[in-house]
Amino acid sequence: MVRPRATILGIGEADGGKATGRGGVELGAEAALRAVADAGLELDEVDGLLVEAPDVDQHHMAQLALADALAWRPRFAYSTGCGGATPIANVLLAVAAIEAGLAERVLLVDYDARQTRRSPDRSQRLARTAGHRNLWEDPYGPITAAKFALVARAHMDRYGTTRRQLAEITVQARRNGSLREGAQLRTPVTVEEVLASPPIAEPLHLLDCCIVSDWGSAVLLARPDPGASRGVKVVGMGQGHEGYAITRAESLAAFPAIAASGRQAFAMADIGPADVDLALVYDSFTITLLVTLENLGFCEIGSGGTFVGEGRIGPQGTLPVNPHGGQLAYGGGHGHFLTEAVRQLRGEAPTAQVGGARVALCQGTAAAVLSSYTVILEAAA
Amino acid sequence: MTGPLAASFLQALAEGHLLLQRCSACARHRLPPAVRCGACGSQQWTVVPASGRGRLASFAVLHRAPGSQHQARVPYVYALVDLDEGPRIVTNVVHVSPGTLRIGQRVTAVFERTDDDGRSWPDFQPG
Repeated sequence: MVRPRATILGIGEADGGKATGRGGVELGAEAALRAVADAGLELDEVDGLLVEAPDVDQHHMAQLALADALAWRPRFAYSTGCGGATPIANVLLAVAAIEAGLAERVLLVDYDARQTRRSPDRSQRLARTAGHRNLWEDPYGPITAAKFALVARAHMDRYGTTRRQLAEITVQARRNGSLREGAQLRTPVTVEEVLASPPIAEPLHLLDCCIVSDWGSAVLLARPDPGASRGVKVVGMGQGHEGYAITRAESLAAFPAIAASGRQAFAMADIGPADVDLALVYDSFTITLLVTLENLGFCEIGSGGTFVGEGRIGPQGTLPVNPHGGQLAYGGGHGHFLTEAVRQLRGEAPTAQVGGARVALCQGTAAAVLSSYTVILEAAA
Repeated sequence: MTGPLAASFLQALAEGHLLLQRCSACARHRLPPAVRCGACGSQQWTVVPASGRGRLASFAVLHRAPGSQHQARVPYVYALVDLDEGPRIVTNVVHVSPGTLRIGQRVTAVFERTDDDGRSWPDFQPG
């Protein structure tokens, strides 16, 4: 029996999606209060706050801006920046804080108003804010999709992966999203529609890319509480970092940071990939999800193109992945991978509930695919 | 990173050529400049001119640009090139029909574009 490191007591999501016209802090506060209410607690019974530093709706002390909006004074408060992996990265930090006695119950909040605040200049739409500047790359005109396209091209060249195989990932995500109320994209698409969508950074086309959203998500995490009947347990955690610049990758064939994050999490949970009932895996682009499944050990390196086809990652497949639709359909936020994992392990998913789900792997990728955080969650006894 | 570490490299770009950082201890080359060698840890280094020759490691054809200064170039090829001296750098491949590019092919630096700071960042072309 593995020792649980923490219990997730509550989850919450703000009413986001398309441009809401609301500030990010407002979205974050709404999600936070919903997570506290979901746990059956009052905000004053929570004493810790970890906030993802927003990329677009920036604030130099986002944790206190959010605390002010909630008229709340936590005793433990930080904002952190680990890209799209931040909510999952914050699980590791919250567990460390709780085990160190620095906090009892920690809210993990992520939010941004990327739809509302996106630049009016069309050419700036794939926002490159100050924090993304790179002296040695910017003269060459990178967009966010460019790094992922480099990874995709190398994968195709080396392993024979096809655009059609990548498109299967979007098709499954959109099918999942079409069933899920609250998902941003509710219409299914075909492989042909993905292939025919406008090119963005070839070989990636528009429907290989995640959506942009206003969002707020929150998770309330506390020391292990065996009495919490809906309490989802954190049983494994890991992380790995190869670099930030894509030129720091040792190869474009395998991604050791993702592998390390999975290996550590599996070791701590004392399980392997075959024991996972469903995976919530970061899908900023189709290729992101494909290489992540490979490097976490769900299939051989290079075989991801075959693995994701024929419904294998669907809710009834051999490895259900992102049954809510992920970033390709559900929303462009970061925390919904965690909130969906918790819903699934409680048996409360409104659609695409994975039957008898006991163990979920939840992973976030950042710095293209060079940085990764993984947690393994287990349903309450 | 526009301080002293990068200064000599940026000055060279303004004069139309590319320099590499060379570790004084193990002779490995690196770019972008870094304060220590990732292979041996030495903080001693010199600069050497790059041959401007390499191989295409991967590439993407961009149909959207991050800003108005690149908009007129769409579509353009964003690429990784492995220089013969070792470093892998980000660049653009120019004077080519993207459909003919293949990973592993030989490429050579060309200095044709000058940015607002007067620096000529090397692009590459087949050959």
